[in-house]
Amino acid sequence: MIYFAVMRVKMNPTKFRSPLFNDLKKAFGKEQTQRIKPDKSESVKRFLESLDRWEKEAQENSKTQYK
Amino acid sequence: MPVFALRLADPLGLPKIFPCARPHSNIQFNHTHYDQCRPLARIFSQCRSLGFQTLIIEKIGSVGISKDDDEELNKNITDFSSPELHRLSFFRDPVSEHNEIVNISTNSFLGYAILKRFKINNKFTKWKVFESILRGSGHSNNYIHAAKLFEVAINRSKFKVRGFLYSQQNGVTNSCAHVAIRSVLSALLPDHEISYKTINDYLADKGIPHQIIDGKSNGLNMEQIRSVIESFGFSSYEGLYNYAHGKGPSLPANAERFLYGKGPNFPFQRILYGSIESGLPALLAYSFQEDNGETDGHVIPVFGHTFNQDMWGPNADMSYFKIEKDRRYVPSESWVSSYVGHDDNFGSNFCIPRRYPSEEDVQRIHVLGILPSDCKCNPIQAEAVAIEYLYRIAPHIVVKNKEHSLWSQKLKETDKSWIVLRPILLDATQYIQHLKDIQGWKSECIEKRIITILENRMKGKFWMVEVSYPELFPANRRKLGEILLRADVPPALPPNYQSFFLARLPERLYGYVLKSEKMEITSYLSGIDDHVPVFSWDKNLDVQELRGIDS
Repeated sequence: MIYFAVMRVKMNPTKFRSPLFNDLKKAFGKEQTQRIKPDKSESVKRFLESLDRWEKEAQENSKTQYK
Repeated sequence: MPVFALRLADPLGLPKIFPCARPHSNIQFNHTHYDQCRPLARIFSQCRSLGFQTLIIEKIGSVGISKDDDEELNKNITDFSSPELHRLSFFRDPVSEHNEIVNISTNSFLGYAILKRFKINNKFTKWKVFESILRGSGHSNNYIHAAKLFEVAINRSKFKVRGFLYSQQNGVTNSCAHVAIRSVLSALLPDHEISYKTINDYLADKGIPHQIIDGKSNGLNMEQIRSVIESFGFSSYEGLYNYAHGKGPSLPANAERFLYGKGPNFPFQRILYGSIESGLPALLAYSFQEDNGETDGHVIPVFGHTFNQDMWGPNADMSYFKIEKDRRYVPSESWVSSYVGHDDNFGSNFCIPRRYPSEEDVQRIHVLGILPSDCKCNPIQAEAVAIEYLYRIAPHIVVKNKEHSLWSQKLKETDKSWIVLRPILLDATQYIQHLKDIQGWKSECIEKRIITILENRMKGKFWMVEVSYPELFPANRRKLGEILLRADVPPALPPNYQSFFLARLPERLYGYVLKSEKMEITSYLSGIDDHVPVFSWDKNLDVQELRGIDS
C-alpha cells in the first residue's frame, strides 16, 4: 500500500505524459489537444478474449503425433 | 559449443565434376546414382529452372550433426554401419577442371544438397537428403523473408547461398516434426545448426520423450514441438482448426476430435502470415484419415509467400475481417496467392496455394507461429489492437483543407472505408531507419526533430501495423501510415494505454496525454502529407543475389 502512495505522488496524473510526447511538446512548442470522443465498443475486447480461449484449446489438444 | 556444419566439411578426395547442360538428364542421373530419391528429383528440377550447368559431387565424412545422428541410429538399429555422405553442389557456370572451382563466382552458386545412406544388416538403405539449401525461384513476386545466408565450402573454396534449410527424415530417430524443427531453428539460431540428438535429448530430459515404436519414429506432437522451439529462446502462438465436425459417420470413433470447438474465426493462414511477414518461419501441421481408417499427422515448415497485386479475391468477396459489426478491416494477407514451404516427403521450396489444405482434405489443422521470446503480443492481437486505436483516433484526425487533405478526410471516415492492415514486428532501430527512408508522394520527408526524439525515446520491439487502402497497397505498395504498438507488453485496450506508442497518419503524429485527469489526443505535424512506401525487408538485401539474377 505504501508503494502505491509513493507512485501517486510521483506520477501526478494531471502532469503525466509519455516521455515521447513530452519531448515532442518541448521541440514543437504549444500543442493542440482534443478531448476523447466516447467510444463504448467492446468488440475488440471480446475478440482478444476469444483468441486467448482458442489458443488455450489448441495447447490443451496437442496430442496428435506428426510423423 | 558451436556445432560443426557439414556444409563446411573438407572433402575426402577429389570431387567429381559433371556437366549438366542439355542433353544431360537429371532424371537418368538420379536413377543411376541415387535410387530415384524423390526430394533430389525436386532439387534437380529447381536447379534446372535456375539454369545450372555444373554438378560437383564430393564424398565427405559423417561429422558434426551427422555423427550425432549415427550415434542415435546405432542405439536404435541392430547392425547399423557404414554411413556414407555425398555433398552435391550446383553451379550456373560451366566447370571442367578441379582448379577452376576456386575461381567460380559466388553468383554462380545455386546451392547444395548432402545425401546420406547407411547399412542395416550389411545392406545399404536408400539415399536420403540429409540437408539442402537452394536459392529461391527468382520469381519477382516471391517473398522469403525468413531465408538466411549460409556459407558452404566446395573443394575447400567458400561460397554463399541465401535460402531456407530443407531436410528429409530417416523415419527412425527422427520424423517430419524433427526436420521441421531443424529447418525453422536453422533460420533462427546464430550458427544455423541443431542436431536431432539435441532435440531428442531435450525432450527426454523434459519428460516428454520422442518414442520409437517397432523401429519407427512415432513422430512428435505439438506440445513437444512447441517445447523444443521455446527452449531455444523463442515464443509461439497457435491455432487449432477442427474440421471433423459434421463428418461423423464416415470417421472412426475418436472422441478426442469432438472435445473442442471448431477454432478461430479467421483462416489459419493468417497465423502463418503473421510470423512470415516479420521474417520468422511458422509451422503448418495437419491430420487426415488414411485409407485404413487410421488418423495420420504431418507437419511442414512455411517460410515465405507469393504476392499477387492483381488479386481479384479481396475485391470480389468483400473480404473484410469483421471482429464484430463495428470493427472491420482487410488483412494484407488477402493478397497472398501461395505460401512457400518444404515438405520432407517431396522436397524443397514448394508453393502451397493459400486456401490449401481445405477443410475437405483434412480433419484438423494446427498452426504455430514463432516470435522472439520477449514478444508478448502476437500479430493477430496487434492487428486487433491497432484497428481499435484507428477507430478511436479517426474522429480526431485534423482536416484543415478538405481539398488538400484527401487522405486525412478519407481516414476520418474509417468506419465507412476499406482499411488494409499489415502487421510487422520491428525493433526501434529498424522503425527509425524506415522513417528516415520514406518519402511522401511529393518527395517530402519526416521532420528531423521527430527522428532525433525517437532515437532518444524508442527502445525494444514494436508491432508496426501499417494502414493502407486497397487502391494503394497491392499495386503501389504504399500506405497512409502506421499504428505503433509495444510488442513487449501483453495487448491492452483503452482505458489501458500500455500497448500504444504512437500513430503516424497523413500530416500528423498522434498520441495520448493526460490532462486534468482526463486522457486527450494530441498531434504534431510530421512532415509527410500523404502516402509512403510500405516497409520492405528486401531493401537491405542484395536484390540480385536474392532473386538469383546475374550482375
